[in-house]
Amino acid sequence: MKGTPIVIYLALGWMVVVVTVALGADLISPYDYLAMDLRTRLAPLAWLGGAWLHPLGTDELGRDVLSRLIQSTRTSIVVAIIGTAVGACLGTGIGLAAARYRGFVDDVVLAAIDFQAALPFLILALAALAFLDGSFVVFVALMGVYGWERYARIVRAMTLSAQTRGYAIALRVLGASPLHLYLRHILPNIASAIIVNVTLTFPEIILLETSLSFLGIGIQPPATSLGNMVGFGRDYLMTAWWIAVAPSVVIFLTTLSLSLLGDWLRDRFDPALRAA
Amino acid sequence: MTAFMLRKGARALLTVLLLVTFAFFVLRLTGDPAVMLVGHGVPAEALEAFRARWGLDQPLWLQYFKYLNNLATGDFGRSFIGDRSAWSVVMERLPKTLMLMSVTALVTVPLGVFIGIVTAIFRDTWIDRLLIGFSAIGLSLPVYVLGILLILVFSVQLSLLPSTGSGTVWHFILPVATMAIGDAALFARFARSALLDALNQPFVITALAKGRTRIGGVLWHALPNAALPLVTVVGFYVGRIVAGAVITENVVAWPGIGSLLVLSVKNRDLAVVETIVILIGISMVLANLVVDLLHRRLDPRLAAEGQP
Repeated sequence: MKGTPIVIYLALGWMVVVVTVALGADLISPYDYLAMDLRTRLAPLAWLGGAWLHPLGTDELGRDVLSRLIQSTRTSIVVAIIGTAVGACLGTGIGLAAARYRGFVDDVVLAAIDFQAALPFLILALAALAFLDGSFVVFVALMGVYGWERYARIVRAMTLSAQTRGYAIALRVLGASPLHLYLRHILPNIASAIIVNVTLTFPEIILLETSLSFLGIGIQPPATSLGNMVGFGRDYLMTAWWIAVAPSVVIFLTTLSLSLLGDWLRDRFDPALRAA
Repeated sequence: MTAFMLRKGARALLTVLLLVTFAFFVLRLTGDPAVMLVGHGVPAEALEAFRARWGLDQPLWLQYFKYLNNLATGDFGRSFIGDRSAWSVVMERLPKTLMLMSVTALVTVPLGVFIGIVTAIFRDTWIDRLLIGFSAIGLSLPVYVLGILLILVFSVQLSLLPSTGSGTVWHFILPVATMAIGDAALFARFARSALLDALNQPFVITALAKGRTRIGGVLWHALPNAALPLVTVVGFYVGRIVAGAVITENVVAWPGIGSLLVLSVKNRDLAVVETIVILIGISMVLANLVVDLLHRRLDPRLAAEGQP
């Protein structure tokens, strides 16, 4: 497209690489990410005196850092995609329900939104994970709860205003069922606001998941995520800094690309929302 | 004004009650603390004795009302570890965290607003682009990644700063920088867009047309009008700084409530986790209340319209 800044292409290119790596992790991974080789523990980067057998070196158990990085990228991206999708559906559903039924349902939803906004989600997630088992499904479900209140608030407000528009009233008079009205007509009309929120939520879930995994409370070993790679690498900063730096670079480039792309998309496709 | 304060106060109280109830039910219902702490495969009598000791054998609603009653009298339960009161365990750690957060806020807010003012004055020049570029980078660095990178450069490579602990003034530099960089970038962006919005208002355009310089226009006319959106960000910032402190304390082994929280989560120490969550929740509710009141102070139009 004309006038698209070069950084947008770079950001897009990086995201294509990351998603490709996430999808094809098993195909491109040079080693099994769990395979240990105790004879080559803490091998340095290939261009810093290490062997090309392990381009990004090895960790404290002699596991190939590149293979672990690929597997970690897959975990973090997959968790973020599922979390974003679940959160979008959950929040949108709640917002639609509040706007459809008003009254008591609406009051409960508004109180819950207030409550959710009163506590940083990281703290809420920490508290919940203290008492839930550390299984993958529970963790991903928790990521799916993230951000529901923003979807609910936006969808509720926009649905309330859409309900009073001519097309909604006309459909109702013509006898369309509420389900048909909300899902086929109102939802497509407010979709752009939901999509904008998705571009905000996706990088935030990556941050949340990697932060919790970094703290040792998210993805549990032997599974690996970008966050817990950094967490374990912290203990080897003195002797093997590449264990922590490799995933750090991937996280940084990914969040930077996503925020650049998100800003660009928002400016380009949703001028109305910015003005509001 | 009184009616407004009462309504806001009632909502704040309701949120705190919801929070306390959440802390109790969700945290109590999602697992059997006796089994989690004593372990599986322990004789049933041992589990029973443990439940009786901690009051876990009573009906849930009775436990709930006892819990509310205890909270009202300042009793936050006992830590499973070391059998001490959870309140004193938390209070012991709180000063360190408050110190870290206040130093960080005192660095972050002025720095961020200052960068915002500079970028607004020099809008669309190289200074603006450079600073905005830096802020995009600052915003994209997660707290823990930044912390690790700072430790790597300043502690490991250059041996300039201590990487763990909290003994001296030097110990503050790494955690404060870790938390301040990203949030200062956030404030800079917000201040910039609030200032640019204000610069487009007719009264500022008039002042500029009458010969005020751009610097004067930004500082004298736009800044007071940008204060309103900036105060809103401060409310939002309280949440960020709390979450940031929890992570940062774990990166640099700062002995505050952030590292205590993560440790207690790992040890499944119910009472301590509940106490910290309730404290954070109450602070957030209070911060939002103060922001609401400040809003009305700063913009009398809101009070006149009777808007919340």
